[in-house]
This record gives sequence, structure tokens and C-alpha cells, in this order.
Amino acid sequence: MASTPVLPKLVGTRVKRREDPRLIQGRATYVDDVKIAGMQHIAFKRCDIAHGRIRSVDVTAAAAMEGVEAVFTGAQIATMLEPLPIATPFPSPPHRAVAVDVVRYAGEPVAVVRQLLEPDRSVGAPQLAAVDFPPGRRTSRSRVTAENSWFARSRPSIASLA
Amino acid sequence: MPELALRVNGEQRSLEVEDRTLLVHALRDGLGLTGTHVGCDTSQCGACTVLIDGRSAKSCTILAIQADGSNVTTIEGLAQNGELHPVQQGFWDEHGLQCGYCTPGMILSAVNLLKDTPNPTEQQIRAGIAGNFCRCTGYQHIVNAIQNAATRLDARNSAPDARR
Repeated sequence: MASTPVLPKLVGTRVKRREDPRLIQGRATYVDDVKIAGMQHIAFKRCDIAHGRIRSVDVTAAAAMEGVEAVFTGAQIATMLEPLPIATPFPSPPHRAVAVDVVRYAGEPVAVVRQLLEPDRSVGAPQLAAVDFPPGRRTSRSRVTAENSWFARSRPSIASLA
Repeated sequence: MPELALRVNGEQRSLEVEDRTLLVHALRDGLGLTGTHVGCDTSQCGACTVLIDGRSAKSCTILAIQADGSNVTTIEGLAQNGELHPVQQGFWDEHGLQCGYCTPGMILSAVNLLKDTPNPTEQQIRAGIAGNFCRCTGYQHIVNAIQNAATRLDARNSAPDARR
């Protein structure tokens, strides 16, 4: 029995996107565009050394500043948040959202400030969270030993080859 | 706190800003014009691009008070009377955007580029948007969109009742 073929309407045609009108006119809502009355913001205090052990974090001056609702150290965050899941089968140190006792890169967060003002309009509260690092940073030339490397500790066989 | 007075998208606006307030934040937070985006901390990405007295500028690298008394055009001010600007139309026609975050800045850079160079070569287009980063598209369709807009503007300007 012959019947008229059903032709596809869209296949092979040029289809314009439906979301573009608001995107090209600046009328889309991205996360930072959301504004709710009483909304708070967070700002991070980040370390400026590449590697070191945190001796202490003093947040009293930051917490006392106007507009600051709360300041959290890495130790406090650790009571609320597990280490971030790292999807790899290889050994990996615990990755904390906010550093607790060791910093492993320049820029790693060491304290979090919760405040009413937008972070760019903050009164520098993150700068007031004082972080104390003991001297003696490891340089790239130092030998990796079980004493200074998480990785070496996790793989004793490799440490013994060093 | 200083009082900033300027024209934004054809309207006279005034608002209180701090000395250190960036123009992008005055536009986004002070005036609620969130179409202009912040994409970096380093003046590299161009998502904050606006037109100041007709010339493209990165609003993250300008203090709000520096724009006192000037004419600022943001992405929200491009379409006139419900009609898309040819560059906006070009981006829609040529799939020149995916997530859309770079797009307002990209469009305003293109507006300035086409004003200075009405019939740019591909190389001139790529040089003209070198200050605008896009992570989604790979730029090819953005180039196509600007070429599309150049053709539209050319046709519009050579029409008998041409309006610029």
C-alpha cells in the first residue's frame, strides 16, 4: 500500500536557539545577578606562600569589623565539611575546602568571612585574618622524604628508593 | 561619598559611589544593570566591556567616578524600540554564543570594531575582539556573527532611508 512519506520538520533545517534573545540583550540571570534583600556574601582569606604548615589563624580583628557576620577557620569548616571528593584511583592527600594545618599552593583559602557587604566592597576583613606560618619552607630542591611528603608517607616503597 | 552623575543607555542617572568603586560594580549593583559581567580579576576577559562616549572600554578597569558626566552604553541599551541591534541579530543568526557569559562584552566590542572598520577582514575581526575571551565557542561562530553584522550594517547604511 502506498502512503505519503512523513517528512521530518527540523532535521536538516537551521534551528535558531530559543535562549539567545535574553542572552544577547543582557536579560539573563547568572548566579551573581541574583539579589535578595539581606543576602550575605562570603570572602576568602588566601595564603600567599606556596607551601607551609599553619601554626595559627587569628580571626578576632576580622570578626569585630562592621558588616562581618562570622569568620571561620579551616578547623571550624572541617567540623562541617568532609574533604572534597577526589575522583582518582591514585593516592591523593585530603583536599580540604579551607586549609587546616598545611597549605599546598599560594592562594589556598585559610579562612572564610561571611559578611553583608559584597566582597568587592568589603572593608578588608579577609586581610585581617592573620595566619602564622613557621619558617623553613620546603623549596623545590629539597629531597622528598617520608618526613616532608604526604605522598612518600603513603607509599613507603617509593620513599625507600629516594 | 562622591555622587556620580552620568547618562546610561540614554537616561540621566545619579548614584552614590565610593572612591574605589569600579564602574562595573556601579552599573551592576548601583543601577541594577546586570547584563555587564565580571569574568576575571585581571582586566583580561572583556566580559565587562561597555561603551563610554561611543568607545569600548573594560568597565572593571575604570573607577566609577572616572565616568562622571559621560555617556555609557551597556548591553541593555543596544536594542532600540524593541528591535535588536544588527550585531545582536548577527550573534543570534550565526550561533555566536553558547553560555552567553562573554556575549554582552563581545557584542559591544564588535559594535566599536564595526564603527571603526565597517568591512573588516577575518584577521581584523580576530584582532578587534582580542580583548574578549570566550571559553565555549572557539570563536569561529563569533567571527561569523560579526561578519553577518557587518553585512547587515552595510546594507542598512546603503539603504535609501539609511539611519546610522
